[in-house]
Amino acid sequence: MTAETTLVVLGHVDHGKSTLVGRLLHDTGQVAPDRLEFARKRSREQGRDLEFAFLLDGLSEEQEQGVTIDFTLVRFQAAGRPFVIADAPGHREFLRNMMSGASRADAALLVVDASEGVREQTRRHAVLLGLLGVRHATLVINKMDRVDWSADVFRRLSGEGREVLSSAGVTVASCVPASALLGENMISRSAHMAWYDGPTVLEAILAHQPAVSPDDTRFRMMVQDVYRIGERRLVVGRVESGSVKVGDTVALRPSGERSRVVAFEGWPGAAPGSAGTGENVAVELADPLFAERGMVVADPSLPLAPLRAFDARLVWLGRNALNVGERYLLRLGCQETGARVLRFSRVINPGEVSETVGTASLPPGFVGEGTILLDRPVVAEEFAACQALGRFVLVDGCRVAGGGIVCGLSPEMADESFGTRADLSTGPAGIAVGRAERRSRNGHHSMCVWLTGLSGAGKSTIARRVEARLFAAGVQVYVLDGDALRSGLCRDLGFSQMDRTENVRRVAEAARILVDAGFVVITALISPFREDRKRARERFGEDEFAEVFVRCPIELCESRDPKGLYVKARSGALPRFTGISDAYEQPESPERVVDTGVLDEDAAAGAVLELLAKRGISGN
Amino acid sequence: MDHLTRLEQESIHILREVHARFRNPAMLWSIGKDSTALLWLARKAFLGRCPMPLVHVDTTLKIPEMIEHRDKIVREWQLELVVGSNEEALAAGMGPASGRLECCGALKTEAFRRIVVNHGFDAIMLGIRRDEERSRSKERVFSPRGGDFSWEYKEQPPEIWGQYNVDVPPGGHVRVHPILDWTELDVWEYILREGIPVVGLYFARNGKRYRSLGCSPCTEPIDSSASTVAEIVEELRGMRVSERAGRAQDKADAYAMQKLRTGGYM
Repeated sequence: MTAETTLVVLGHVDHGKSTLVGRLLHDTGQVAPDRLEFARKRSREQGRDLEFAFLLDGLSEEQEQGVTIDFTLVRFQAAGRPFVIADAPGHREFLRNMMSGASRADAALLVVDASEGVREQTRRHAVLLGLLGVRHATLVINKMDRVDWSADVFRRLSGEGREVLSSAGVTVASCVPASALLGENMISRSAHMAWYDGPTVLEAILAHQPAVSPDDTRFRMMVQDVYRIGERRLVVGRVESGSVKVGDTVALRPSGERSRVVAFEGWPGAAPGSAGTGENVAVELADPLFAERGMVVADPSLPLAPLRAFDARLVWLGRNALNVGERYLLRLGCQETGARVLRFSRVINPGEVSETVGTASLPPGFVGEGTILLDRPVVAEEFAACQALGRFVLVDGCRVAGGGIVCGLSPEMADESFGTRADLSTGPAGIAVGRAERRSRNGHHSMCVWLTGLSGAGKSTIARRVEARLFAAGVQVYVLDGDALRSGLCRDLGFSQMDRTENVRRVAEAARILVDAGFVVITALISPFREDRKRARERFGEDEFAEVFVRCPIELCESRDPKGLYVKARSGALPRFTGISDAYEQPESPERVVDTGVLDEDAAAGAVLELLAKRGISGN
Repeated sequence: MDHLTRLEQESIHILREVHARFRNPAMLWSIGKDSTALLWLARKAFLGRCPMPLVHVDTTLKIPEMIEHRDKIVREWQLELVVGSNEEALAAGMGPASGRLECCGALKTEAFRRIVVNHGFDAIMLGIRRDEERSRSKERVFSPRGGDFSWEYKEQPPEIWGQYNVDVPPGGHVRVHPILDWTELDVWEYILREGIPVVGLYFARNGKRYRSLGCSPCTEPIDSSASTVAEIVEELRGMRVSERAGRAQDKADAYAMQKLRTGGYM
């Protein structure tokens, strides 16, 4: 069977996209009789002849108001070839739906109303096709019946349409004058337009083929998950380009470690010894590497350095504008990190002719070009080199709210030292003052004691007591208190999950600097998420970090309520309050649990001092 | 890569994404061909086992042969099955006679909602397809649902380049539709290719077979002589009537399914 070709039908509001698709399905006999009867009945109820659009627009609002709200996909057979047609909405407020339908297309049909010409959404859709990587299009000048089948109108509009598409980087394969409503030049040639000798809409569709991936053919796979089966660890993911076979040497990015493919696992029956692009595999590697979701397994010859920043071209589909400097979640394949736009070099309204606007924010439906900064390094490539590693989405709250492509790799910001625990102060050999020298002068080890627990559990109190005892004993000690840091270092952060994650990351980094400087650091912040605390731990050596769970029943915390926060949280004045309206994930294996529901302040501080004493840090 | 393999691979990718991203996912299993194909895809994705529980909403009105088939597969494939019903509505005598939409709302949607809430599921996979029905044709692969279970079909988030909406809305869950882009014929061709066991009700007996399976009072068999999977595939290639023509709840009202689904129906 020949491969399927996916076409998206785009264009301005009411230029006849759904009617065109409905007409194609109808005239090629591909509508089930009961569905046709339903569309007829609904059309009659509105006092109209058969509305071809009703074959696609299935929601009640769509039929009652005559608009397409969301996209749908329909199968379509022509000349023995399978097609999928995505009928997309034209209204600007439904742009996110248009993008959802168009993002998987091989080619597009851009529909222009002959009586209205190129309009705002015609331009916007053309520009976005370019951004989506759709490279081929057919221009349909529709509703030719409204302009008396005029050859002049057709020539003028096809010129304008070609201009719009080609300046967006889309090749125009053909231009067809048609009337979808009347079925002229759709399947068979129209007698009204004898001056036209090009293809019909159906012939133009048949000229489109599945897009050929522009990626080079070296092997790339994103790690989606790791499965453990007995003693075996299987790295699971989809082959995004090239192919892989048993015996191949592969590199794991960002670490750069190399290994060999030992076997593939499958069910039912054994998996073949190789896999090609688009296949989802479970791979056993020769070396027990530290593989996890988000990494990339690739041909070792691919220079995939992790990036701290890249240049991008993106479209915003959120409810409110994207603001420069504001933090969003960026998802690129299976990788995920907080990210913000450092600056836009250009913001355009793709609906208007060369209109550039201010660069402080990106309104919905606009396209921006600029630099994106990442909280954690990401393995990415330019979109032109690899589609899967070259495009990303931005998430605002719980919703995908934008998408873009990587245009440049900002090599000056490339970061090779991903996840390092190295001494920050290391310089050229022999002349550096390092962690060891500082510890030696202080006469004690340096480390971070991470206190976690609910608000009101007693973290700050314990931290201050321990600090006082150690200080008196001559230990270099410092408390990083969550509340205090939120008024300075972290004052730009709120309490969303992402901001809490970033808050923990910053405190962990600050603690790491202090540990490097020879200090015993005690952090006191709620740090509700296990994953965040795990990441904090990973920034330290094994003997440099101890997690202490300050445990206290929430009822007790609430009855203490030293800052009056629980009262506010209960009244709803304080949303996302840990323990009330947001989760607290208890530590699974902390170095120490201090139960402040049972112990008094002295005993609780004593328990932490005892832990420190075991690491050679004495408060006496 | 052939057509079926391409669909299969896409579905496997989605299933694995759910397993990687959600804390407590489950899969809805109606015992019909679509959710059974989905279950097979899960076994492929997870190399022979299904690491998440199956949920069966028991309206007590299902055709008995479906329940027998369900229990046999659960045993043989060693599945974890969660069965739930809306006991109060059943005790109060709810049935199609009370109104088909009311019955679906109480015995399916509400029973389903209770299972999701009681088990704290944050993602539910369903075997629905675009080509089945008008409102399903407008679905997303990953469809976030709020705490009230509703489908905000006018406010669906974008879904581009297979980067899915995997974040759970506060108090809600995410519906995941791994075979959304499959057609009825694709499903049967896949069942044929893979040798997936399906309930015998799909095969013609005395000139009739079920094309779509639901509750017995609201599901009508069609005229057919197709008694094997291969014959069903042949029959569908020439079929002109749509699949759910035998499902009564679809016809209760012009937009019956949209109304049901807005309230959280499958």
